[in-house]
Parts: sequence; structure tokens; C-alpha cells
Amino acid sequence: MQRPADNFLPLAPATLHILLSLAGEKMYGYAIMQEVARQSEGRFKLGPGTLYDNLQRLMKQGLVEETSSDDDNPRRRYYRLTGLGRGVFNAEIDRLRGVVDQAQAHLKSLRPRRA
Amino acid sequence: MVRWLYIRLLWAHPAEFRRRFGDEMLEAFDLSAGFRETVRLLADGLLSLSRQWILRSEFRQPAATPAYELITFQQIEPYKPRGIALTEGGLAAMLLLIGIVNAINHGGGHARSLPIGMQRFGLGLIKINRSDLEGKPAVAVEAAKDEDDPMRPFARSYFRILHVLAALDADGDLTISAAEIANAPAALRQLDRNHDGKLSAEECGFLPPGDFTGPPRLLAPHRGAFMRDNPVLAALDTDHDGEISAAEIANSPAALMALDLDHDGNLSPYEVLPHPAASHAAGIIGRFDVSDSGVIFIEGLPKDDPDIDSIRRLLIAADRNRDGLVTRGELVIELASRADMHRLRALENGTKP
Repeated sequence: MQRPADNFLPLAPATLHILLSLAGEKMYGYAIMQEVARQSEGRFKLGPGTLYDNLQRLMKQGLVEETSSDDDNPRRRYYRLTGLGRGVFNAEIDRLRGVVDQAQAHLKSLRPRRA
Repeated sequence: MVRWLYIRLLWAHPAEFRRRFGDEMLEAFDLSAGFRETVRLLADGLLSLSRQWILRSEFRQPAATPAYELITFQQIEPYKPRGIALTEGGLAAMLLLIGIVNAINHGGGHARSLPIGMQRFGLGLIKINRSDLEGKPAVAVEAAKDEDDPMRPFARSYFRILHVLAALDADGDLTISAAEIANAPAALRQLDRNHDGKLSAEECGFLPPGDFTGPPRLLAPHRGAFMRDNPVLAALDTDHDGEISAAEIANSPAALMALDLDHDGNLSPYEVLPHPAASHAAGIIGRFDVSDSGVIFIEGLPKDDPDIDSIRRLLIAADRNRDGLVTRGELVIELASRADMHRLRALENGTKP
């Protein structure tokens, strides 16, 4: 049975990293960029153009929403996952987990046996 | 500079995207550090720009205008710039204006005042000596410089040839001033080379024609024409005997004043030149030069003068540079050309010019 979240899969790497950053707490744009860099240990750097292009699309799809904050900086807007967004993120993780399991099983079957 | 470039990049994004994320993107740019990071963000901005315009058309919604609304003013972007942006823009415009004003002020190798009154950047813009303003009209109209007068070269030659004028015009400015008129007897007596107390035509500047070989008595008509056709000599030789006697020399100031057609106390070249057009022009200038500036302002002609229509037509034709002001030179040329045309027509019709 296909879930609604399955319609959004697979996620692009940038989208996955954004959803992963927002999975814990609400964040503003620059913090998301920092978090993505931290998650990937500096290998994946998200530029503002790419970040906000994704946020624009994710908000239109209903996966991310803007939320209020107590931040004094008026330029900062905070974003968080919606219920749908969290479902999509979990679904993507499940899919990736399945991919990893499949890959590990496949690699195990290809491992050369000692004579 | 790089920040300015990044702001321009943001401005080039679609309005909806820019309004929604522009500030946040700029904050991310401001928080970035290092040259490589800056270059990366610029490249990211360019990529975002092309992506927004090419791939994200679904996010751009045209603004709906009610059919009943009368459009009086419409702008492409309803975005209102922030206050800091307006302040920076105003400051930049002011700096640009100051730069232009300074460049104009210091151009040409010497400082000059601007028409708007700013001489140099400071609080004391204009130095005014108010005593200079007392008793003077608020607006003064200056005539063109004499050097621009088309008749001046001719007048200079004429003053050199006619010994009487050369003697009278002591300062060589081609104008017989009131002081020079008053000193006329003494100046004229210097021309009396044979000390007989009177001035002959030769002493006044007459030269026989170059090809004349006849007896001297045949020169008498030429001498008479010389004394008669030159206005100054004709005025001084009041008895028209071909010589300027001692009495006429003594009476020369009064005789010269008869040539002062514009009654300014001086004799300009136009009042002493032999061409009738010159004296005609001097008379018109003296009659209609209400500002006493030596030129006639066509729009300022009196409307109650009985000859005003013909004078206006004459002046409009004479105003060759179409500046609304008629100088003596322009008027003389126009009158002389009309006189020549009159003579030509008379010759063609077989009548006496």
C-alpha cells in the first residue's frame, strides 16, 4: 500500500540534508547551512540560493513551514518540519535503510570465500 | 563591492522570491568569510538566478488587476526599498553631484563660479559687496563685445586712412569720446604740417588716385568729393569750401557733436563711417536702444511708435543669428544690402538710384 509520503521519494541530496537539519528543531537559513556542513563533515556545502530554492519548494509542497521565534534579528525566519514533512523524511530514511541493507547483502554475497 | 554585486544578483531574482528570501540570503552572505567562500556564494547566486527564471515559473504569479480599476500609475515591482537603501542611494547621489560640481568648477585651468551660485564647497558660497548693488538695476544686459562686431575691421582701416579720425581718436579705441571731442581743436592743429592755420584735404588724409597723371588743378573735384563724402570732414568743413579753416578748427567740438546721432556724447564708428547705412543704423540704434546697451531688443520695441511695424520687419531681417538682439553691425549690413538691392533694381528699371 502506497503512503502519501512515497510520492515525494526519492529525495534529492540537498532536500534530504535540509529535512535532516530540521528534524531536530526549528532553524533559520544560515543555521541550516551550517548544520548541513556539519552533518557532512564539510563535504557538502549548501549555498543560500540552493537552500532557499529548496525551502521555497518544500513549503509549497507542505513539507516545511515557517514558524515564529524569539530571535531579535528581524532578518531571520525560522523553519520547521510539518507532519507531512516528517513523514516524508522518515519514509526516505526507511528507503535509504532498505537500500543500505540491500547493498550490504549484495556485497556480502559477492565477498570471495576462502578456499 | 562584492556585496554590492551580490545585492544586484538578488535584485535580479523574481520579485516573489526576492521579497521572501532576499534578506536571509544577504545575511548568509554577510556571515560568510574568506575569498573562496565569497566566490562560491556568488556562483551560487548566479545559479539560483538562472534556476529561478528558467525552472521556477510556477512560483511567479502575475498580479491580477481588477477590470474596473483605472490604472493611473503602475510599476513593475511593488517592492518598497528599505530605509537604509534609500539613505545609501541619496548619499551616493549627493557624492556624485558634488564630484560633478567640483569637476566643472575646476575645469578649464581656473576656478569659475557656477550659474547655480556655488563657487566652492563650503558655507560661504558667494561673496557679495552690497555697496556695488546700490543704485544699479537688478538685471543688466551686456552687448556683444566690440571684437565680435563685423564692421570693426573696416572701421579700423578707415580710422587709419583718415588722418583727422586718427588724430581725434587719441587712445585708438575707434570711438571719439567726449574728452577727445573736447580736445579736437588741439588734435586737429597737429595735422597742420605747413602751419598755415587750416587743414587742406591732403592734410586731412586725401591721396590722389594712384594712376592720376594730369595737372594738379584736375584734382580739385576729387578733393571736394573727399571732403564731402567723409562725414567727419563734411561736419568740420561747415562752409564746404574744401578746407577746414582755423575758425572751423576752433569750432570743431560743436561740429563733431552734430554727428552724435544716438546722443551718447561719443562718436562710434557707425556715426563717422562714410556709408549711409552706417549713419542710418546709428540713428535707429539711438532711437530704439531703450536700455542704452548699444543693441536693440526686438521684443522690447515700443508699441506706440508710428514706424514700429516697418522697423520691426527691418530688425527681424537684420537679426541674422536669431538671438532677438540686433547689433549695429547686423543693422548696417542689412541696411547696406537693402541699399544695394535698391540700386540694382533702379539700374534694371532704367531709373535713377
